[in-house]
Amino acid sequence: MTGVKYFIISFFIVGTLAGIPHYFAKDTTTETEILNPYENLEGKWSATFKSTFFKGIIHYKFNKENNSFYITRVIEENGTDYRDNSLSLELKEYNGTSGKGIYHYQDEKVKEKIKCEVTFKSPNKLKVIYNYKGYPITETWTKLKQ
Amino acid sequence: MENLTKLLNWEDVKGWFYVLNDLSIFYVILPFFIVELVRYTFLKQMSWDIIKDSIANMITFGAFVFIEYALGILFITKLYFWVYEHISLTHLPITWITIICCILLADFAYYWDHRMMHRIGIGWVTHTVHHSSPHFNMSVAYRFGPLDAVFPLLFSLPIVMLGFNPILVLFCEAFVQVFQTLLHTEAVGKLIKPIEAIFNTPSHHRVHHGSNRQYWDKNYAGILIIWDKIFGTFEPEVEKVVFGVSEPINSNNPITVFFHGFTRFADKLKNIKGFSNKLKAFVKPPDWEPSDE
Repeated sequence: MTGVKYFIISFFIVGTLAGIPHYFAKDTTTETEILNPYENLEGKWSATFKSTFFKGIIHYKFNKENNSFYITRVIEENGTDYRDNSLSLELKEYNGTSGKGIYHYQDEKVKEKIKCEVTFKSPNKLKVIYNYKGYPITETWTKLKQ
Repeated sequence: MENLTKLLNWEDVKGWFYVLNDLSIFYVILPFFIVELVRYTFLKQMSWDIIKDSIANMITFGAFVFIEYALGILFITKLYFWVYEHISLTHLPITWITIICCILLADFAYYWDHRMMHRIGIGWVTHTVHHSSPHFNMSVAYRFGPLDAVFPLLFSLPIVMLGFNPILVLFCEAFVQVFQTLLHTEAVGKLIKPIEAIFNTPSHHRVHHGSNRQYWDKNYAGILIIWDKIFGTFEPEVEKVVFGVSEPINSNNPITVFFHGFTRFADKLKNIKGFSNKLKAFVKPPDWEPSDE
């Protein structure tokens, strides 16, 4: 019986001590939003593609001047490795955890704009969701070490 | 309240813990140990045994740090981050509220971890090293057993699951340890009542190291003694404390000191009949013996 009593007390103590910072975390997030919500996107990111349109890896770098991701490197499935500037992702709005943006694709023949949604899952994971030619696509980006 | 919920610069936080944890050995622990040595000399209690005991303490600390680093690099840090990334609640921002609650949770975890190390056989196998010194000074705080870094894992991982940054959890655990270190002294008597009522003090911790029967398995606290009061393990210092374990090891050989828990447990297992009884010895209290023997 004592064991059960101690377990309940412990549960209450842990719940309280963990609950307090979670409760106040909302206030903190508001403040970080005002300070610089884009801070957690800074650095280089890697996205792996296995779609019918492209198979390989694309590295992006976040440019904080215009809140956009630019390609730094493309590695095709067959190992071909090159620089490319046909694709960029411009964030129109972002609150530190989620936001909306536009994928800009441009080559000699085509110029496309695709609306997308971005979710910051963790300091190392970013999710980008959009529709391309009727196909719903979810990309998971991984933060690259600096 | 605004100050408590303001997002802190992580580099600043790391700097504060570096000063509080890592540098404390230079500005408080080592100077205090020198004061204790002077006190021993002044009271004509200084002996070769104290010197050899202190050296053995430092060597066990070296061995402990080696094991901890090896485990940390190979396993613990990766596990902490895996848990943080995959099975934790929303990640908490680094604010004063987060830090204060993390220290309190680390202290609470320390209480239960410490209690478990005393109350189950395999825990005592390693923790007996810390209690085996017949002396009580700052150097004893560094007398660790081989697996002393393993058991806290069971209690700190849930804190990471609650959304606290793993590095912050490690910092807070180290802070509790540093606070604990400062309690290993005979040079400080009882402090004023409000402090003795809330905080763990040298007096409370002397009781914890006592081999007097009424002091066994008491005062497990790290920073706050209120955990012992809540969970029925508090004992005030009344009778003069006799330091050490009930069966002294009578050796200052660091190897004997570091491994005596294992050798004694191996002997105990040899004398226990039956496989299930041998298994029980790992999880039953250290003084447990099968009823059919």
